[in-house]
Amino acid sequence: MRVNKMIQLIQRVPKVMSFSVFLSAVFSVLLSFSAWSQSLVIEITQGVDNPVPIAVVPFQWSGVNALSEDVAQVIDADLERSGQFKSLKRSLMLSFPFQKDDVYYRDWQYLATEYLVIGQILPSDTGGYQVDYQLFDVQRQEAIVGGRFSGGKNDLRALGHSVSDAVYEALTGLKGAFRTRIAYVAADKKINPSYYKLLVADADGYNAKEILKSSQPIMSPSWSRDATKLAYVSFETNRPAIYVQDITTGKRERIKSFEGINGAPAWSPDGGKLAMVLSKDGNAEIYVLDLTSKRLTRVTKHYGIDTEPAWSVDGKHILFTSDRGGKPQIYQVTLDSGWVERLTFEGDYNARGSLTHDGRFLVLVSRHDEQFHIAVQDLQRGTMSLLTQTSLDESPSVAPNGSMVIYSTQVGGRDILAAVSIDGKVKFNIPANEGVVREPAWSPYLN
Amino acid sequence: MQAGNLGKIIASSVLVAFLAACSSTGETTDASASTQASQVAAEAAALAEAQALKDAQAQAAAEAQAQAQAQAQAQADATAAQQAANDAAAQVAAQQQQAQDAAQALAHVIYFDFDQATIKAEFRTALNGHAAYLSQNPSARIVLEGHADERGTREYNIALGERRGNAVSRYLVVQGVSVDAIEVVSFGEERPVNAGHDSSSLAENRRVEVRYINY
Repeated sequence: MRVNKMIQLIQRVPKVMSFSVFLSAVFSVLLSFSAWSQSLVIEITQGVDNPVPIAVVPFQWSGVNALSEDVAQVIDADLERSGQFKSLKRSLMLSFPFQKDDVYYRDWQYLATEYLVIGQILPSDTGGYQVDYQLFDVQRQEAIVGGRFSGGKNDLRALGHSVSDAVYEALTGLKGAFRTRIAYVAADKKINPSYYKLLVADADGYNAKEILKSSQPIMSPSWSRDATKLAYVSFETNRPAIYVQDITTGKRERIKSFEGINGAPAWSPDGGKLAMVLSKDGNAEIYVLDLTSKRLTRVTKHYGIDTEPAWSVDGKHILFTSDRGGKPQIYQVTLDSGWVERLTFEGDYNARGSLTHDGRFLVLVSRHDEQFHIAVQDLQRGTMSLLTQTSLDESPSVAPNGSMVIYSTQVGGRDILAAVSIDGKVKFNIPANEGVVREPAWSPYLN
Repeated sequence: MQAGNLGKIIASSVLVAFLAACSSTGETTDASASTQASQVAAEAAALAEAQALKDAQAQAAAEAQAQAQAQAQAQADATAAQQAANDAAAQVAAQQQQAQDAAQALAHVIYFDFDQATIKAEFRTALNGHAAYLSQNPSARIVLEGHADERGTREYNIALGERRGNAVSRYLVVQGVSVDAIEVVSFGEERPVNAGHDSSSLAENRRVEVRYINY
């Protein structure tokens, strides 16, 4: 029965998808398959109560050979992953329009779809692709937005993410963050030789690419503001040192290191400075390195631990974790004056704070009842709420549009990546195929 | 001295031969008597020469023997000295090895409570032993590797691991160890010894490891 249905569907949309892509579309719970060994598989575990119904019709392809990617499927998965949309299954679609004139609103009204996305893909002169899309309001029977994105022959998925970003922004008013990346650390201690890797993947877990592999720990990846470089900590010399690496060319530079801790690099909003932790003066303190002048400025001075620097949106303050009050809490220092104030008061362990793009929310790790959760504190209201219920949650990193937080957690004794929306309503897990994955860092918008 | 003796012997032989020739011929000096005297003198000279050579050879042999004896003596002396030195070194090495073994036999891992860097009383004996060894062996070097369990954030745990390493370092320095003999490196929660997640596994991971890089 199911097989018959599949065959029927394949006959109906033969040009759009390769067979394997189509299989994946049918079994849409598992959204991923990959050519890379270290790929991540996204499982949506929780969505909003009333997600907006939307239909993304398979995009028409006018080329000769089958495409390597199903672009509509990429868009479908992006919108579903936001938790705010519910995609219409292809098997329920009554027609597959790819031009405005072919859209019969009553078909989509009948299917209770509120929005409709159609499009087509054309080969470009340069050997790449051009993707045209249109978004319609089914109830009002009108086009909302449309456009064209062009890219190279390996950019089909990226083009899909661009369409997702445009659709998401048109419908929510918030800039989409689907065409972004995540850096993360993978490790496998069960195989011999054991390894640590630094990887970069698309925000949906695809196209994982190895940046560095080492027999010694790798930690704390931090993106440059233009999303072309990563700063991270590597123990490859048996001592910690901070490196800055171009993710495209692989070229890297070791930042001058000192005895003791060299850790927690964090790029300033203007891209010209790197906040970091050094213990060269006795214990962990926050410093700021000017990347141009190489001038190093000490920011904190306390016998307690000061670590995990994160910049304010305007670059005038640095948030950090300190146990100067006895237990780890989050503080903020004003760089000009050196004035320090405490930001968190609820609970006895609050650490690794970072701010949303608008500076309104402080995302952090907070311990409650001996368990470590991802929490968010509304800096206007001063209220803290827990976003996760799992234990051992850490390394939260906020999407550049502030909509989602990616973090690492443990499931069945394994570290996996997971994401939660800033309101706690949407959740998905991103387990790795092998080893453990942790310390995700969400990239800024790509240029 | 050798040449002088030989000269004296030859001169006296020639004189003897000449006197003999004179006495045998009386006052008359004819050719045959003179020839006879020359022959005797030549024979005496040859005899003296052979004797001198023999003496020289004997002396050379004696000298060579003496030299060989001296060499043998020197060698024997050297061997004895070497042996003595070896014995002394072996004794020092044995002592050193004993001390090293003792240091190695001490506990090398110091454990801590959660979010704490206080050295518990049970680890003082081991640390005192390390301190004694390090004080007595100025060339010895250690690395104190600080570690934390998986709870809490990673960079905070790096700082916590260092705080534990520093606590051990301070304890050793107070016992008389040179600061230069100690390096503290924190690995935070990145290198657990026990991959488990229960409380006893976590307790094993909250530690400082004393690693000798030079004894």
